[in-house]
Amino acid sequence: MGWVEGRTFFFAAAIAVAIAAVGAASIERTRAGRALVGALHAAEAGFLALLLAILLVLSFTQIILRNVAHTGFVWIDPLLRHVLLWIGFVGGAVATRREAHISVDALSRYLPPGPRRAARILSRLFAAAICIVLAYAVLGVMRDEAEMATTAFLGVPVWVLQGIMPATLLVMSVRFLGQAMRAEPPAPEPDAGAA
Amino acid sequence: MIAVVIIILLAVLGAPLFAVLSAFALAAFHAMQVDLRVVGIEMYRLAENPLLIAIPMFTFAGYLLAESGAPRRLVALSRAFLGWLPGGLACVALLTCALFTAFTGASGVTIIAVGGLLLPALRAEKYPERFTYGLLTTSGSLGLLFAPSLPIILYGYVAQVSIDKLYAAGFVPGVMLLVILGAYAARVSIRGNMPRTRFSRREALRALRAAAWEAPLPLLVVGGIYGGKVTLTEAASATAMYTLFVEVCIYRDVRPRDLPRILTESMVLVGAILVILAAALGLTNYFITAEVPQRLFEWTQQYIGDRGLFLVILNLFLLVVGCLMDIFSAILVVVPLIAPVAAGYGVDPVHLGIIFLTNLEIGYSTPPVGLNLFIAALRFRRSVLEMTRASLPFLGLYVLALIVITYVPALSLWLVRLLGVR
Repeated sequence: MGWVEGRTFFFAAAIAVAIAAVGAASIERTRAGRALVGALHAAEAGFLALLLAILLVLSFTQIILRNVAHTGFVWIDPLLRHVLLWIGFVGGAVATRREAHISVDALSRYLPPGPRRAARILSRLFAAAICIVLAYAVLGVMRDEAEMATTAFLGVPVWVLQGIMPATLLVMSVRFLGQAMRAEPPAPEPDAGAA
Repeated sequence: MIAVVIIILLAVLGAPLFAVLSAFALAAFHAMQVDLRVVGIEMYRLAENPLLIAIPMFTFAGYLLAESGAPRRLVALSRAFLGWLPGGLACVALLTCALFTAFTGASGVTIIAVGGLLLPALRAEKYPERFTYGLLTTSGSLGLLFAPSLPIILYGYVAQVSIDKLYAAGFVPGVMLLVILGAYAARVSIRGNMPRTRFSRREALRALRAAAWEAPLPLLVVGGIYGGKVTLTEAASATAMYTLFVEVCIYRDVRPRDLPRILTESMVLVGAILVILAAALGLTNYFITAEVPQRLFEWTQQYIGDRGLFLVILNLFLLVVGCLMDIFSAILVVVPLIAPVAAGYGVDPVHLGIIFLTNLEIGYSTPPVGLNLFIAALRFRRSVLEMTRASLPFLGLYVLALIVITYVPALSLWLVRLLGVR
């Protein structure tokens, strides 16, 4: 790809992700560390909620403008489409933390505990690795967009908006690695609508 | 080839599907010596289509309804109007579940929110235990064919078929499913000599008044979308805002301080679906580049001569897919491969969508991965095996409906033509 050799990137990213995963695991052993991680998780969840709130408010504003005032802002539509992209990837990061990703786990459900743990470690390591490769693929695209100086709306560069993808993919990678190290799924969080 | 085997192995060991699909795409492009950036470009296409914006907004509206008293009011309302029929309460269950699933996208929320309410009521009216469990388990995906169901939006997006057309096409088959299951319930009720309640105008008026703000919601969505006056995204936005206003400001079932939590909860599922979609876009690009659907079509043509036989094989194949995969992944992975092949056999793309979704609706309640079975087992504290056995007679009826839907295309297509939906 020219700018960074793929192999160099994978190597560096894998080390960084491993350090982050090990670091997070050791920080979580102290009370202050748990509080910090908890605050970060709350901020992440809050950001996801904020994204959806923006989507709801702006799309509704657009309807009102279009049908009542017969006008509209051209920047709202591309903004909404990018908010969706962000919801997808931030939501994906939260789904990783809660182990809520969809998988075809036909076999692993019926495995005895020992092999099930091995399956869990293997599949998480694999997911962590794929996330790094995907982040690399997107970074390449971002570099092209930055070179061409493309903008999406209101002068916001496309590459900045794409930045959420490698950022969250690397977070997911750290989380998958952490799950491979923990080897036991956490207690399920209370589901919405379970009332 | 070795890479494919390894990736499939990791998939059945429980690797997240988005990683599996991405791995296929990355490995395939790498083998073709194509720069991996193509996968990144495809992922960014999530930000390309305004249709996708409807997905988080409808999902949020569904979660909000599930958190509120809407399930209770909806049951009371349909009970007041349908309770006097033979098998009336079972029909209430069918209708409520169908409406609720249409709004929540068959994510298991229906069984949790509505099933728990209906179970004691059905048992109190002396419906047999097995019938009750079977009914509530399989109804967790009933209503997939009605607007504004999420799987239909995804199908339309992936297969590039008009979503408005799909909604119109799903209506009659969806109603047929309800009628078939309702007739079965009536038979059970008459055979068991179960007591029937009388219609009470006062009760009906009271239930109607209680649900006065929510009852118009399906009409609003259905009228908006089927009428073609508003776009899907506008309908989604209006539905979410209306639901928000009604549940928080009028019924006050949902406290404002619960909103951040509900906003986040609803987006976890959406995030999980969207990252799979992002990955599937990359894989689809590879399929098209490598002309996989064309080759698949040429290959099937050697063995399958005519459309009738193709449809039989297609249904068997999709039932297996439905057994092994959840509906969202099945749509994202299988549709790009099957849709061109089916088009080669002259199957109408809209009709194909309805066949596809009906199959997957059945797959929700089949082992080993049927989501309904697991959620029902969890919710009703019974074993998965028991839920499976209880679901069998219902699944038989679903298959019957599937056969009719498959071989009578007019069932799906006449409303599309009648309304002139484009």
